[in-house]
Amino acid sequence: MSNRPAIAAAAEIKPGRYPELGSLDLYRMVIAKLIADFGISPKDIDGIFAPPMDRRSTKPKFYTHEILANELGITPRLSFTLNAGGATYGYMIQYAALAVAAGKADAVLCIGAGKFPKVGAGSETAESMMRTVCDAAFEFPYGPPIPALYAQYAARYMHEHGVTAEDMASVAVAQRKWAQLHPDAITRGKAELTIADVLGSRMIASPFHYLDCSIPCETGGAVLVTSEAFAKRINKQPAWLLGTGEHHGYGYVSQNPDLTHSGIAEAAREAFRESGLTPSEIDHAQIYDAFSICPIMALEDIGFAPRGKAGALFRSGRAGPGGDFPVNTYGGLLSYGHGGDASGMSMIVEGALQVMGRAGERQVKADNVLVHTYGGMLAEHCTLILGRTA
Amino acid sequence: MQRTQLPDITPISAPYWDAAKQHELLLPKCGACERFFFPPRAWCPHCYEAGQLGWETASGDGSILSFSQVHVPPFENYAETLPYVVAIVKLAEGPQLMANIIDCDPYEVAIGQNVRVTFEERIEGVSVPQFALKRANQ
Repeated sequence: MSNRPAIAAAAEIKPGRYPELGSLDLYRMVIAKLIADFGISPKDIDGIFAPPMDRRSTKPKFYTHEILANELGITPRLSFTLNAGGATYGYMIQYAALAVAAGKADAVLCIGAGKFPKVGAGSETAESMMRTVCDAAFEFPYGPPIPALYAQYAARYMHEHGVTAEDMASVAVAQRKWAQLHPDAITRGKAELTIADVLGSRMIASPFHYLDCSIPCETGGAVLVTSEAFAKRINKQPAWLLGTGEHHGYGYVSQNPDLTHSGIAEAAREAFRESGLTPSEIDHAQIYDAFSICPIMALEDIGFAPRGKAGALFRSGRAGPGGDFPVNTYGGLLSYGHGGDASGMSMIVEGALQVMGRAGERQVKADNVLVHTYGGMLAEHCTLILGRTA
Repeated sequence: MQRTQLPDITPISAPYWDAAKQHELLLPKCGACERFFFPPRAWCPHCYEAGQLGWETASGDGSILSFSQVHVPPFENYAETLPYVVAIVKLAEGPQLMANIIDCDPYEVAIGQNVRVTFEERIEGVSVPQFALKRANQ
């Protein structure tokens, strides 16, 4: 393929709280970092994909792509605002790659940044957010906060496959270890966790304790999906896009007839088919982890662990620093931080930086890396396989 | 205290909520393939026929597919005591509903338990189906 697509550049700003900055300010910081880290110019960019801005506020903006084109002073060949929750960025990259391969663009900026406002129970914002994450007619009236929606999958998965609270806690423990190796992780410098710490933290919605839940914060990230020629010009080791997979399950968790399956397996199967690789050829995985059950379900669905056995990967240390199958080398959303509207970019940036050999202290073997992102309440899925060799 | 969270009601779903006011659980049933489905919608998700939306009273019996005890509610005063239970109930007729499991110790709730429909009055005359554990003598 003459226009073999790659992630040629990837950057993310430090997760945290930026009370003095608005979302556009965060976008500016992300773009500035991407430009500085990879020596590119706004005039190189001929495509922009972005999510709605301030989606969690009372003043959402739905033309982010126009705002950013104006900011950069460019008139792109292709550009739009799209949203599929946490899967947004995986899809951006998939469609940017298709556009690049078809010659419709040369360098597509896939970007997201955002605030994660603290919404108090009972506020108007909390109620309108609830109505968007579940069925406003048949789920909303029953008061299911986001953790309780994910919990429906978790409780059923535990029931059918023997996954334990200790297994889930071991995910949080391993990811806290990884976060100590990432200079920007929100829990960097915090004490390491034990399984007892997780199980002893207060219950949010069973089976999730406080430390089974990701940490809300604000951040932003971007990648540049480019043609082969562009990639080689700006980066000696781009992250080649070897395969992508998309699948959509059930938007409303109550309507999923099999709560142990959400569509992860289908998306991953498609990415493996396209890449020609098998799970045994993948060196490590970056997996969206709003809650500690998510990497367990994903590793088992994708084929990295037998059913009910992914917990052992974490408990034995194999998925942690020094292990033979690293998972979420940046600390995951559980310990790196969950950047609100931009959360789905964090594991992609990390996967790309690993393949590029730019992961610093936490660098692991990254010839082939699988990244899985999902959106909604495990409703929509996107798997990316990145590699060092095109 | 009556809860204030109300469902979005559309012309297609109105019969469901009207029946709930009478404490009746009414389920959508396809007039073409005669299978139950949920939620009410224009296309049957089994045979994809449109415009054949019929209704039939459900038995009110079901079992718990999954559940969570909620300790941090999204709404103030949603429950008088915490935790409360959010569950997915599989009805005897096949469809699945989200509901709270009420009138019980929340720690009694488990996957596979049999439940029976009950109704909770909300503000503005709206009534929502809820479920209670089915006791041995029921």
